[in-house]
Amino acid sequence: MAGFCILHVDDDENIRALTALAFTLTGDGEVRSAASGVEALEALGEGLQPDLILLDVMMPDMDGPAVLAGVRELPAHRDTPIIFMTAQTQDHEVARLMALGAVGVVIKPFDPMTLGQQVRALLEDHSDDRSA
Amino acid sequence: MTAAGSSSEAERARLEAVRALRILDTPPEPRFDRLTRLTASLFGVPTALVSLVDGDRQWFKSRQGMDLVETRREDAFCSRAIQSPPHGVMIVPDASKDPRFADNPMVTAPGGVRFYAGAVLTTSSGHNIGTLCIKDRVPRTFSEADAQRLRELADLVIEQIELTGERHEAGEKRRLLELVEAVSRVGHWRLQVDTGEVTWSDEVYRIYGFPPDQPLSREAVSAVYTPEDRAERDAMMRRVIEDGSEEEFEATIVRPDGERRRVVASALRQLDRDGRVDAVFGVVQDITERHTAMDHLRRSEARYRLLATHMDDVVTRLRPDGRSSYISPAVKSLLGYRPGEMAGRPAQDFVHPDDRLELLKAFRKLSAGLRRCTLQQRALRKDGTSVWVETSFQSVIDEAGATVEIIAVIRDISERRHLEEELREARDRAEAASDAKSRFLSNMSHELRTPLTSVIGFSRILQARELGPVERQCADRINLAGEILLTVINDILDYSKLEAGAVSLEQRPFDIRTVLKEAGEIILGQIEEKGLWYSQDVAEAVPPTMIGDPGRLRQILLNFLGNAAKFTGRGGVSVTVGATPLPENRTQVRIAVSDTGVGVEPEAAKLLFERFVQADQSTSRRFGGTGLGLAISRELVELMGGKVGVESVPGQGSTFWFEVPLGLPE
Repeated sequence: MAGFCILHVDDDENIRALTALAFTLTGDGEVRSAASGVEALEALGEGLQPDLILLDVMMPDMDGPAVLAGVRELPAHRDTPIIFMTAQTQDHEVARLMALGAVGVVIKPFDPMTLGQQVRALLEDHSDDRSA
Repeated sequence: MTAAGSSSEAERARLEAVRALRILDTPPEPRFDRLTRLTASLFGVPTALVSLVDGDRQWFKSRQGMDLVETRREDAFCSRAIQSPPHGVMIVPDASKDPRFADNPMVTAPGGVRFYAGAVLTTSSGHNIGTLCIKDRVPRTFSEADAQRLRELADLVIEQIELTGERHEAGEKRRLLELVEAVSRVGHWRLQVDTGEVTWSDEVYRIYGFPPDQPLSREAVSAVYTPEDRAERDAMMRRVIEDGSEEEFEATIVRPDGERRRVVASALRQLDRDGRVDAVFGVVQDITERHTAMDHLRRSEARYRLLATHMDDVVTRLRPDGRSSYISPAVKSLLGYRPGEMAGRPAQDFVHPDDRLELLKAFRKLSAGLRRCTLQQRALRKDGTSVWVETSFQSVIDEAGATVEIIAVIRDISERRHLEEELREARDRAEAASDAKSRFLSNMSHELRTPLTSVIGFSRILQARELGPVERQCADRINLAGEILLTVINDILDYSKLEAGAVSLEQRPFDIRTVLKEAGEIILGQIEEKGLWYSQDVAEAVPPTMIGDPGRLRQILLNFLGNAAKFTGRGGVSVTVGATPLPENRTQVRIAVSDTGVGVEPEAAKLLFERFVQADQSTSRRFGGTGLGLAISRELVELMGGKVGVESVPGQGSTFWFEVPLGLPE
């Protein structure tokens, strides 16, 4: 999956590092990290075109859903796939996030060695759903 | 018409007078016959009659020497005679020679009338009603003295006639009186003062309960009164006689047959022409029924007053405009006002200004036909402070449906309001605490899982690298510790949610064999690591598809399996699944996990499913765990309507089981 570009948004530095490392080590893609929603939207505004956005839910100032809304306002990113990453395991929370238009949810803690596979599976499921 | 010369008006009045005497067509009476006999013999004539002239006939009350009861008026001598002045006498010495009667059939007939003398019967009101007349078949002379004598006899007749009318009238009056007395239950009596003689009307007999045919005495009448009433009655009589006062008194009498009646008696004296007391006239009325009704009314009024007086609630009667006509005394302790201070003032004066509009609206609705309503308002005390009251209004309507009065019951609810306030605050606090707890749990989950994500994630990356033996051991231990910590956090969150009732169960078709297989795969590594054997058996009776929450069932099963693996050093772990049918298309599923481990003492076993309890305090040090796993399992099983249990022999092993009812597909 060479050239697969991921924008990862998380306020926790360790998780940003872990996620970047995971994709690099497994060769599943290249990660561009953002420490906040504002930073992410700026990067997108400057012309970044990721294939996927991995979006943390609980962040100060601008939480995941708010970032999603901001992304969808950018004409170039109306359809960019977004996958939430959350520490909330409750079914209703997952359902809420899916209802916002995410293609999937990754529960923290996650296994970095299989994250790439997990994400790919979610994307495929999503495109299957869409083409169906 | 024969009654020529008299105006029809006068004739009508005369006829009325005749008929009012009620003597026409009555049977013969000796007192009249005596008079006609006397008259005939006195004048030596064969015929003497008391003749009354009716509309078109003359009718004889008494007749001597005459067979006819009545004759035609136009033929009658008497109809001529009554045209004479009052008390006049008409004399016809020889009718055959009198032009007025010469061709009268009574004259022309063989043996007809020749002589006639009639004295007019004139009533005291001046009407000529007829005559006392004599007749003969031969002509006669009749002197002025004879005429005078006949006139005097006629006066006797009229006297008798009028007596009859008076008697009749008196009788009528008496009958009417009796009727009135019987209907009104009023009897009368009369005491002749000089003789001491008393007469009682029939109704008196009935009121006092004496047989009507027996003579009554003053003593017998006195005896029906109680001694006190008798004394009062005597005193009243004295005052009536001496002072001329009109008095009335009420008493209870006891009839000779023992029945008690309530009567009201009154008396007044009658004076003679000289102003001396002639008689005492009295009436006595039976008012038992009325008295009973009044008594009921009085008693219910008294009861209502008593109630109103002694109730803590304030009872008020209000006019539709909101002004009070009655306020019960309890208002003093509620508001500090005496009822008199509030009377007539509008109710809104005693209500907190912010609550007045609501009260006025209620009055408008009640006046417009609303039957009842209840308000909670702040009432104003005399000292200016306010008190929470609940007022229940009820409108009283008249026959036309118009509101005439509003009854309001006012209750002090400050205590209740206070309690409600406290309850509300407590509930708010609890809700706030619960919200805070939820937020805390959510935050904690996030705050713990975020660093754990790094711990587990980075250790996983390390494990995937080529490492020296020491580094590998370190990476493994870091990763395991992270995973254990994650389990603990999940347990705590799970239990908190269960405790808060925030867990809802799925209801979907599933295969229990799949659940068992998945759980076995998860636990198998751990079991094989310890060199233990593992077996599972599903009875044939277990339906292939059932309806329930497979995720939660797997969680419970994994918890039991985890414990079994943890506490078993030698031997193995087995799972058995059985099923028994239940009514209404359901099945009771029993899953048992047996091990050959350390076992638990029976005393400790009872506590195992309580939260934070482990069989031995040292267990947590030896085996780890929060002690929440079994508590969560029990909560989940109970949520499914089932139960959990454990059988154990210390040192030999344990069997943890749970039973849950599950639905079957249609």
